[in-house]
Amino acid sequence: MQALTANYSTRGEIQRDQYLIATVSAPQTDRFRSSSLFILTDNRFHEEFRLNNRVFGLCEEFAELENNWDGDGALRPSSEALKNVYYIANVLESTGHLIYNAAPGPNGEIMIDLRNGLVNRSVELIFYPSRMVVVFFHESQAPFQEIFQFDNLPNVLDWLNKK
Amino acid sequence: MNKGDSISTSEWLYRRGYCTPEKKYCNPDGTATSRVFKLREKDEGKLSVDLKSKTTPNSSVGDPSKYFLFEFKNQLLRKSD
Repeated sequence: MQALTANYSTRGEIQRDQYLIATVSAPQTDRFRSSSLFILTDNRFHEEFRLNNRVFGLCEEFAELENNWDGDGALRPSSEALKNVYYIANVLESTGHLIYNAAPGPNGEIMIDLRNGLVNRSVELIFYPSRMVVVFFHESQAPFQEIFQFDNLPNVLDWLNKK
Repeated sequence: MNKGDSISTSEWLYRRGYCTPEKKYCNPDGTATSRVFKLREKDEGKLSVDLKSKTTPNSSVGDPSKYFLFEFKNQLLRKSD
């Protein structure tokens, strides 16, 4: 194993022009023995290839907005809304779920738009300064909405991705 | 015609939404997000729109470097969150 790992870079040797660094190890206990491959990536590589990189970029922009950002009196996105949007975006990113779009609203809220193009369903998660709402859209029925709680995200995604 | 007057459901309406080359806050396909139609406290429950039949796109959009103009039929509007 030492001979094998010696052929790979270690974390301490990351250079700015390097993107992939692989480390191989073989964890074992008294009860099992397995081999694992760890792949560490340069942060720039990671961000560039995030599934929802565009939306993460938008969120960074939203955090910089000031009151009256739209020239028509819109409030700046609230810190609570931003915190919740980052949380949900990271959860969706880690589960491999594409976020179609994100947009700030006039009352300090931020909207996350999730879509299932195959069956014409979509969901909007709207993060207001003091509450969260989910709105369900389907081409064959009127939109309906509920109070959103993070615990309910699996049910929301089930509805969205139902065939 | 005055603000608050009733209009036919067949009327076409204009609503502008903030969208600049640097801050693209419409959908990736160029359509409006729901936030464009979100009421503000100052709206007092009434969405501010222009009637297509009574104005021009240039007049309605005001500053085309800051706003997109969205066109839709009155009958498509419904009150939501």
